[in-house]
Amino acid sequence: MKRIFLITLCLVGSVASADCFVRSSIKLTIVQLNVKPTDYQRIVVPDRNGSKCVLRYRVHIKDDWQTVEGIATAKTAAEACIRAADIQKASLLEEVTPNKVSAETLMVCSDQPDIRVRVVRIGDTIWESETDFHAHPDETSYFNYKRTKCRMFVERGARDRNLYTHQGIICKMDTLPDSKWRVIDKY
Amino acid sequence: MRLVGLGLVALMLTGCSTTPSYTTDNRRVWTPTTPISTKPGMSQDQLASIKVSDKDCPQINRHTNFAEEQLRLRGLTNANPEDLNEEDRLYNATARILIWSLRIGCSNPNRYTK
Repeated sequence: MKRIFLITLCLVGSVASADCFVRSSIKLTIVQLNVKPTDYQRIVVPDRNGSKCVLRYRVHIKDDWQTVEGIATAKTAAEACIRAADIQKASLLEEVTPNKVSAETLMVCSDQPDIRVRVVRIGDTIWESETDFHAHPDETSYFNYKRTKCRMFVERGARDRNLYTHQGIICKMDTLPDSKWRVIDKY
Repeated sequence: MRLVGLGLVALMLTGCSTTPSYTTDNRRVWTPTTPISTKPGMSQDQLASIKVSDKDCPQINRHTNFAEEQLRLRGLTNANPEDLNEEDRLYNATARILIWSLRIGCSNPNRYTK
């Protein structure tokens, strides 16, 4: 059975894994964000008050994608998830490094896929935050193409002892907040 | 002046002809005198010399079809950049920048307005 969500109080730093974060006390405000939050992943479980929604999403702060988690309970799942999406009540999740884990640290783990910037190929279905924003200021904003929300991305890597930068286009597959994106072109 | 795309150039029809038979905005921007490349279609330099502006939007299909034809002639229609050598990667990127400059700029006329 799929493990839904695990919260562990970590006493030692030796158990850190790639799927775990420490819940930061840093609070975000919407003005800090370069773009609206994206890539919503939700888990709804029954709660004595109705439903509990654990909402993870991605925000772009300065030049980096960060994972944020909001938790809320309400009578209905929809209401709980709306509350959980309030970024001012959410927590920034920081990747675990052993020297950051302490007795007071709350580590959160999940078997949901960890979203990271990665190499993508044309035709791939991806989370938006699997690609970086374009570095040129003129090309960072979203645009419409065939009635679809799209944006440019850049991808940096190395091959054969050479550094390369590719750019490309991703477009949102539908208008829902948790919609994935499609790699339309890359060059 | 309001730019449509990244601003590359004016399109031309043939890469190896002695007179340009295709221009945008009625400008003659390039006059080849000798064949530059043995490969089909435009050369890299010719492709990179093409500049587009918002004046090219009424002819966007013509321009993008032309650029896509250059890619087709080189066998780069559905190319992934990771699979290409450096020469083809550069050619592919140049043509696609041209195509997307027009698609993005013409669909979003205020995008590049300062």
